[in-house]
Amino acid sequence: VEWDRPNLALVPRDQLPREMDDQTRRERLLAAMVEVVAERGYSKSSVPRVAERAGMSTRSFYRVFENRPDCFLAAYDEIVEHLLSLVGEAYRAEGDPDARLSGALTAFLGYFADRPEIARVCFLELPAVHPGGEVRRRQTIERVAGLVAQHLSRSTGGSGPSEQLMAEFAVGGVYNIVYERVRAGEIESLRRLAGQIEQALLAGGMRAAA
Amino acid sequence: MWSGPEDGEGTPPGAAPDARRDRLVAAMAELVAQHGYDAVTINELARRARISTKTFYGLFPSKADCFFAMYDEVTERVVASLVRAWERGSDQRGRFERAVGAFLSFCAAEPAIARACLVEAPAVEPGGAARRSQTVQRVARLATHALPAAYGRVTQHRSGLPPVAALAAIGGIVAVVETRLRAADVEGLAALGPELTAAVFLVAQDL
Repeated sequence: VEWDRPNLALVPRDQLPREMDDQTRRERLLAAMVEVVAERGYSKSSVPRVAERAGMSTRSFYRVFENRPDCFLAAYDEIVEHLLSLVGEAYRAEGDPDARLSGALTAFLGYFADRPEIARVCFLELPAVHPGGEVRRRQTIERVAGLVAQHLSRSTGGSGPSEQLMAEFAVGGVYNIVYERVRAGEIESLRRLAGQIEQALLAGGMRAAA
Repeated sequence: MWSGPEDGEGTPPGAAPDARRDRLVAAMAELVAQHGYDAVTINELARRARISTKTFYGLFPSKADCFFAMYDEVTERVVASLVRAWERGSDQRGRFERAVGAFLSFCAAEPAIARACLVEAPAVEPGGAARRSQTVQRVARLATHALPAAYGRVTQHRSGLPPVAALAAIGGIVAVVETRLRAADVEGLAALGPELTAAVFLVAQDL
């Protein structure tokens, strides 16, 4: 699983330091959680299996996380933060508002196209996490919609119910397209769709005011 | 609210299994609407449907199966109303606007059931997420058709929405509705039809 966090790379168990600090334990568990869920699905993951993958005991797991959903959602949160930081960088790298939107969209779709396992974990496995998975899914959608609404109010000059509605509509639409591609195992095709989706967003009222 | 069968008072002993099944499905709709799926218990379902838990298990293998029976009934009812609304429109845009209006009216009239089927269903294991995806694809297929299949002249991609636009349109509409259902902000939901239809047609130009 490509996780983009070198410090989370799983070193072989016999090379582990005898004493891991709390931060190392936590990061190893998060990486192990994502690996196990990517391989087996959340419903077939378990605390002993995740702990074993991380090279520690079940008891050590419970010193860091309350339970399996707690650990999974912490891993999901890290992925989202990482994704949004890359999307934010791509957005800020452009000057023109339409190019900013396009850069952010390309970074978003590219993130998952490059990381099919992370995409499956985030889109397909998250809703199965009880409790909290479904709430997290919606919080993420609403957070991204908030960012898009901010972009709209800056670039089109309007800021009202209409921008908020349009942002929710657009994010829900893009989410649905990505979700169905991930489900169909066609994550690669996201890159090809980027141009089409961008055109649709711009035509759908997201073009900056001249 | 829920227009399922009346509860079991006066039902003769040994009533047809279908009547008991219908009562359970109606009980599931009421309980999910009141308390949310997680809080529903098989004991409570059985009590409300006036059957024993043993009878429950004779009709459904699990709580999830009973929930999905309810979900499937609601989905059939709503999809049928979308198709009827669609048929009443005179042109593509009019048809779409009527179908969106029918969906919004259902959500505004029965917010608790809509919330259960839109917000809760994807998290019901096993199979909730797959159920949601099937429903989305089914409605998306309808939206890619200019006219319902009943007319025998289905024209795909011509005057219907292209498939990617249909997926985006449904995802967009559902996201807007979900936010309002979650915030229990259903006033004004039914009035969003024209604005959402306008958004769909702007977006669909390029997909």
